[in-house]
Amino acid sequence: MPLETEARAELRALLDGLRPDDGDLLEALHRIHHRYGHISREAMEVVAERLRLTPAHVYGATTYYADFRTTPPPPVTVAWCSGPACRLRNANGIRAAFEAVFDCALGEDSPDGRVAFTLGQCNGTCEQAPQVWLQERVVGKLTAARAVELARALREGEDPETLGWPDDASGDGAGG
Amino acid sequence: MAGAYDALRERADAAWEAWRHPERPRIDLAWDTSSLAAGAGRVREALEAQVAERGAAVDTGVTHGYGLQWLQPLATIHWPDGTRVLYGPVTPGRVGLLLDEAAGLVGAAAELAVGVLSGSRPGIPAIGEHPFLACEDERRLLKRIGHSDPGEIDHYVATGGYHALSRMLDRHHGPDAVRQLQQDAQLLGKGGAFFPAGVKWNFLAGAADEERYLVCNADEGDPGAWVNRVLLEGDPHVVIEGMLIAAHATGAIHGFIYIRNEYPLAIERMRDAIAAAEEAGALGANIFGSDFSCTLEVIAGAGAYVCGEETGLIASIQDDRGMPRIKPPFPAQSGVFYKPTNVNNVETYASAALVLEHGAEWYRELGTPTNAGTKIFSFSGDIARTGFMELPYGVAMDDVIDALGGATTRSGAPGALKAIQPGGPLAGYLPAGLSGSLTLEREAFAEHGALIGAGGIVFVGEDANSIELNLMFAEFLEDESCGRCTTCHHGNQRMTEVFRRVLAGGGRPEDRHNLEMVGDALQYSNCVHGSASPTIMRNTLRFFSEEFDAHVAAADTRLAGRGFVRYRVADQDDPRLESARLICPVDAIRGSPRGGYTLDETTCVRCGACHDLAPRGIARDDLVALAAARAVT
Repeated sequence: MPLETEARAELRALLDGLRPDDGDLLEALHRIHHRYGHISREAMEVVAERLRLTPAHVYGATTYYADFRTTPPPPVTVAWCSGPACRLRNANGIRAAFEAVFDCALGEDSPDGRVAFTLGQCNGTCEQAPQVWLQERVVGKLTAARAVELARALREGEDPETLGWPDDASGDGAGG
Repeated sequence: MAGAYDALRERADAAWEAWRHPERPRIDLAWDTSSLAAGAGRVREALEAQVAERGAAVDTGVTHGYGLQWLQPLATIHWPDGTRVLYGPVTPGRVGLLLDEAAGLVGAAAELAVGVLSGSRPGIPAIGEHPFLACEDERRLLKRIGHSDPGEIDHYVATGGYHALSRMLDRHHGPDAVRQLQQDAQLLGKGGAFFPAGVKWNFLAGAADEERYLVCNADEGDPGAWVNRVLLEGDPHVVIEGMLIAAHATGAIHGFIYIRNEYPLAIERMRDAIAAAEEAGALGANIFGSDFSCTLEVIAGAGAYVCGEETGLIASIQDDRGMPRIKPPFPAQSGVFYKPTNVNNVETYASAALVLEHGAEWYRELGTPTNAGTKIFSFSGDIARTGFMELPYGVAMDDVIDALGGATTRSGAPGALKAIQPGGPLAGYLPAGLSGSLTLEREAFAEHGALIGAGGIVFVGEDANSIELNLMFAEFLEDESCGRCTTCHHGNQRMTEVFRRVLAGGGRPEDRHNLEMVGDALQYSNCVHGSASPTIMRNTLRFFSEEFDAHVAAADTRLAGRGFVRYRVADQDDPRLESARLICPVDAIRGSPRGGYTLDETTCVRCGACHDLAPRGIARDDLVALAAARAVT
């Protein structure tokens, strides 16, 4: 038996009500990801124990899905929409702008540990194209120039809550 | 038994009447993924603050947007006499206009008026007269969208919801009759495969095992498609009712609604609707007092496109990685937990509820002889108006393009179309020139080697690059391959490599043949993710042959793999060059207003930020077009 720790006890409590052979693995992973922002090796072991799966099985599932991280997330996440309507509006250039300012490739965290730059999938708000999700909020109608401004503000530690809101007067979105 | 439903209906009618004729004006904000993306959260804050500040005799409520997404955030003013008018875009700075209008200042918000949803209002046309809705006939699946609060089960019941279920359980329709009715209606699966729903249900009804499951496929992963999202967020109970009808018709005891994680509001609304339906006795044990019992649960996906394939979906539900497996056995023989299972799309279940309520003949009234009924479509890309509508199958593509306000360029100005990209990354890429002969039904697309898919259609303007779009889809397909079939994971990897190299300026004469070979191999993959992944590439080589060849012909080792897009200083007199220098994220632009500017091509990452700020001073060159022009002269 692995050593019982406070962290394990907390993980176990989080999985309350989940059972083996009941289709609960995704729910278990979501609960942990929601609480901790990532799924640690220890969490995978606790999930495996609870659902009577092997840790390897849980690891396989965790890493199969794009939405689960296995390392703690930076405080800010920018998800870049990769959908077609965005691509028709210079989404590739916008991606290059974020990568240059964050100094990391899509799918990586910035070296200063401040921002995660992740791949986002189209959610059908294409009237806002091209867009990113800043802390899960759509920042739409971007240009590469606005993307650079937004990325610089984030890199300089500005509060994401204050950034990227649509402009009141025009009803148009505005980044940065 | 009818008593349980009647009591629910009575309660619902009272609540509905109160909502339809409020004691004082009410402003209903569109509250859906699209309105939230447009900033509805801040609109609500501004509205509530102004109501408090003015002490306005106005209430606030919630509905789902009407489909005209480019006008989000949308809001409806609902007057005590039942008149309702749709307005948009309602930004935080404009809520005062709506409050004035609601309070009796007629015309205060006239500039934002979109159309009258109910009753009449001087000077504002009925919503049906809006050009965006010119191709629509009767809204059936969307009947409650924008006309009710999707969080209120009472609104669903008072507008006829759960009536078909109740009547069925009153033994007016046995399971056999219900399945036959779906066949008579010619209800075909709406997830893109067009398989007859009634026939599929027969498979499950005839299964050997008594423990049977239903799955609702709400893993709507096609980029550019949000048909299911609208139903899940806008009318969740119609999905529940459709699944209960299917459960009764097939003997299923439990259903899973598998919703992609990109739709958090849909997940929340469906979970709330399930709880409300259980409390109302419309779901769970002994539904409406009958001996029929069925439970439902929502499962949230976690970002895997291939879970939209039914066996991948089943694997994902039962704790495995979401990898499709080989068929047979089909889900009706061995599905979730190896028990017989029926998988349908969200819209198919919802349609089944309508068929049972209104009859097979009613369903077939709209559509074409081979494609009965209506379908929700979502339209995006280089068009003036982005949104969703419900159309009878068979509508002419040119009419749809007109309704969408015509084509636009990359910058949103009026333009011409290059291509039509239906149904996500597996379905096709057709030249806009075919639009005159294209109708919204599967045969019209199949004729050209494409699929119509699940309802998302993206329009591609003439200044777009088809090869870049091919690379985008190839990368998507490579990323999302589950990895089981070598043909698929390696084939899509190869396809990606070839397109990437061609776009980087390293195309080779044999690349067309390379791609064709990869396409031949891909089609032998187990599931449709692999077998259909060459569709867009094949359409491109067939219909956009010249564009592909031009990229290969323009190949040049001097480009050093930097591709065909080049930014350069074109006009030293543009005063905005200094701001272009400052915005460059890699300091590729150097110089000063006095000494002039240079742009270092080897440092440039081609983001285009400088061109955004100084479009005259910084030119964006397309080297393929330049090479082609040189070849002609």
